Amino acid sequence: MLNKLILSIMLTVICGYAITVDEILDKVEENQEPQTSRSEITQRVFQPNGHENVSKLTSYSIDKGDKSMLEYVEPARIRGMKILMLNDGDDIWFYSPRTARVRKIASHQKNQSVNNSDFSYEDMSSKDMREDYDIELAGEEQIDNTACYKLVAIPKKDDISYSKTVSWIDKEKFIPVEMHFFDEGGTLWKKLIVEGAQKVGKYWSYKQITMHNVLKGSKTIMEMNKTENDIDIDKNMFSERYLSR
Amino acid sequence: MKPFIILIFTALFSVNVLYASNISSNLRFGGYIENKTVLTVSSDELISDNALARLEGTWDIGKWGGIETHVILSAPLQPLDPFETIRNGSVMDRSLQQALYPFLEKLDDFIPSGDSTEPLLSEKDAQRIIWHLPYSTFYPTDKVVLDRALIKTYFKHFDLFVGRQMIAWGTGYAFNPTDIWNSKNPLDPDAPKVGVNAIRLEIPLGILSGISLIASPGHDFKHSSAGLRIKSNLGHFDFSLSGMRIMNSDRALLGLPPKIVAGADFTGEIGDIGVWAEAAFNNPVYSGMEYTDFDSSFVQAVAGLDYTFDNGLYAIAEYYFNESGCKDSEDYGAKELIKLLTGEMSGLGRHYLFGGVQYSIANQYDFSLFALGNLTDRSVMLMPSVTFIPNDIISIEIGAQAGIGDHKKSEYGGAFPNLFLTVKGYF
Repeated sequence: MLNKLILSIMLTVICGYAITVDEILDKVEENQEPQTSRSEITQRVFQPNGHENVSKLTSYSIDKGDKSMLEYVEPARIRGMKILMLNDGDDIWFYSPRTARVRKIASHQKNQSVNNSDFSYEDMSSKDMREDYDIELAGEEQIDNTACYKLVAIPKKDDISYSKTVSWIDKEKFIPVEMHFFDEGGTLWKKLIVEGAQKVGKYWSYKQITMHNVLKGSKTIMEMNKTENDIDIDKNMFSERYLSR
Repeated sequence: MKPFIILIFTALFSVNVLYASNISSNLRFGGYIENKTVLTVSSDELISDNALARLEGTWDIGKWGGIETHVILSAPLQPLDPFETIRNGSVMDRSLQQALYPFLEKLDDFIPSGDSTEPLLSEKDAQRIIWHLPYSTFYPTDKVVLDRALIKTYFKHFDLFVGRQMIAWGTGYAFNPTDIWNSKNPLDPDAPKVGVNAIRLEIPLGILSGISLIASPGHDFKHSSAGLRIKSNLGHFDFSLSGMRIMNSDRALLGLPPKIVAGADFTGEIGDIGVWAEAAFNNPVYSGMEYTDFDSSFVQAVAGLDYTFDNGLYAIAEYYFNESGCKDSEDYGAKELIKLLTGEMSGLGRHYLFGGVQYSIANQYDFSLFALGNLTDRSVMLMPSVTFIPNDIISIEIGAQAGIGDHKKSEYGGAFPNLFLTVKGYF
């Protein structure tokens, strides 16, 4: 699911390069979209005042990220909390174990942080980028000595929180290495940086994903402790029945 | 009732045996401890203190099911006579004395003031209300409450939950008229509710649809409850329809008859705004009446909306209509109070508005200001609070409750204001 977040942009328009946006996206998806995936993640949230929160969670996804589920394991205060995302993140449900209540999350909450992190519900969901964005290949640039394609994505819909997204795709591996998210005023809001790219089976994954909130000065690091792709995951997990068990 | 006691002990015993047998890979223990200190600002400043521990044990057997037990232990370290939290001659004061006097004067530590009136209850029943009924326990006592003790079994086409368990019906935030299984306190909507003895069958009919069948046995068939809920999803809305037959020994004790309830609720969004509504048609069936006699029926309904602004400020508003409540505050009395304390209704009046805002700073400070207004008697309970979360296992909340309204005639105006400090540690 997080892999899909990283390739969150994309579509057609292209001019003057030997490769098209669609070709880049096809290769990225081929590299990063397992049919099913399970990851054990440690989430560290750092506030500007130095305060740190640590959580552990497990993420599951099937149908190339169309259906996904997050389950918090630690800390004890939120243990058992679950988030179900369906339809590429358009529909989100939240389960609280202490109240035993399943609650649908409305649109106004989708740009709010998940468990006080710098990732929003919208960030954690896997949008259908070819459908939701106009994407342009804006050139080639070096990011940390890595030659990259630069893609600029403008949302087609009003319900997307960002006015623009810029991402840099490794030209050799065809995996994103950095993304910038801009607010409605065109100001840089968040920066996502990935590190430790490694192959898990036939897919690229990352050891660490960091989201910097440039406006707040905070950052959230997702450490991938264990990732398994194309494994057997019960599709019934992605239902209200499982949420409230 | 006996089979449930056996079941509960079986569940507890099973967890202990499994733990002792080192089958601990899917065993989890957790919970929290809490201490709440309250300063009641009356003619004297009165301090009370209550400690609570919630112990949770879960054994997960993967796809087959599991066992879950939660126990709540509470101890009033420095108890306060509840009569000292309300003004003499206020609605609550008058109603409580009408309901419970003269039994209260037999309790050594608590002697009510004011004139006596004819009691509504027998001595035995009044004692039970005073000391034992969940949520209506009037005087603070040491308590051990079994919140959950259930066996969960998962089958291909249904899940079966047997034992004491949490059942959460309805979509309202502060008020849940269709949740007949657990009464909610609108002055503390996020407080965990206490479980109920039940057999629950969940039959999924798709990803977001399903049928819930619940039987909650009492000491005999007549004092048992049952319910059916059908839930589904359409577009951006979740909705459900429910039907229940409610009766238990607590209702019998309080002179409340069995009742039939038909309910409906939904939650979704209109534009970016979250919306929900919930309604219950209640038909109490008094002796000599038929289920189709609607003379004493009443409706309770909730409608709410919420929104989060771009700066993170969360706002919520919820309206509650309670046809069972009084049209005029002059009519408030012991019967209304008993219905309030037992969850039959969530306020003495007919019309209520709950609302508030919440804001979080740096993951460490949560500021909130909520208000619960009784539109019938024009009184309001203000509830400001600040929660400080210094680390992942500790939270510290400082807050207040201040009733505004006529001291003698309104529901919330008769309570003395208080300040509280709650320290909670999770493990």
